[in-house]
Amino acid sequence: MPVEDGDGRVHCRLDELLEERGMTLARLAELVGVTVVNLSVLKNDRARAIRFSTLTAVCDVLQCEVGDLLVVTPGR
Amino acid sequence: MIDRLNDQRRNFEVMALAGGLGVLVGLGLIVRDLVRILPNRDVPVPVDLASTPHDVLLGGTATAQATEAVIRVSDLSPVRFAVVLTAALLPTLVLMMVAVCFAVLGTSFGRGDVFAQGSLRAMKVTALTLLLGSVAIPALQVMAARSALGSVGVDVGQRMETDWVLFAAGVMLGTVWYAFRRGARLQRDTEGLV
Repeated sequence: MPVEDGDGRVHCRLDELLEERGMTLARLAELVGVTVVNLSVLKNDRARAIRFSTLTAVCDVLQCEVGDLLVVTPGR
Repeated sequence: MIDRLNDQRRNFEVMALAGGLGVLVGLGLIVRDLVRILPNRDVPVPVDLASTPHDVLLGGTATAQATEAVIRVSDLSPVRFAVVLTAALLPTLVLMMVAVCFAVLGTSFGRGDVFAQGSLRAMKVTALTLLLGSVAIPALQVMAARSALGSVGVDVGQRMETDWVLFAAGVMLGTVWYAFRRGARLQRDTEGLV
């Protein structure tokens, strides 16, 4: 049975990681090669899927692991 | 570009209007058939004479072979009456289903929601209706003809043939429905993809 959206439980910690590194979303978009709009979707937990290429590029730029960027929040 | 989009929208509006018009025409035909059949007096029933063709004189010396005829029967028993009524109404109901499908598709395409759930449902139901109708309509028409002939004590063999045009239309619409279902799935999969 297909999993439906994971009930929106995946939280993206992009805000925190950017703040720790003193980087702006626009600068990250420039370095990663993804539009600010798409990164904003990711940052605000509105993304429903992420390409491995995007994930790898973001982790490379922020020098973090996938688990640092995405966390699963406890279910209700 | 904007002109092309406006043209497209207009086409979809025409499609929806044509569907709505089809439904209205269907309703008119149903009312006409009900008025003809419900009194159970001189009910017209088409019968197939292919197994016993009759020569008909047209004017002077020209002749034609009648392979179909309409007989008028009265005071049909409830079962025979129900069969005749259903056989008369079913083709119109199938036509109306196709018209509703057009109206739903035209409306949702016009809104820009190509893969709307309503459109998919309308396509699926219409495809199934056409497929079932391709067998049910001829079968009911044969049953109605037998009932009408039986009520006047005549036995003329009635052939039942699948309506291959309806069948092909059902298969084609079913194929389109399948393609749209795949499209809807792809759209769902890529929504929110970063």
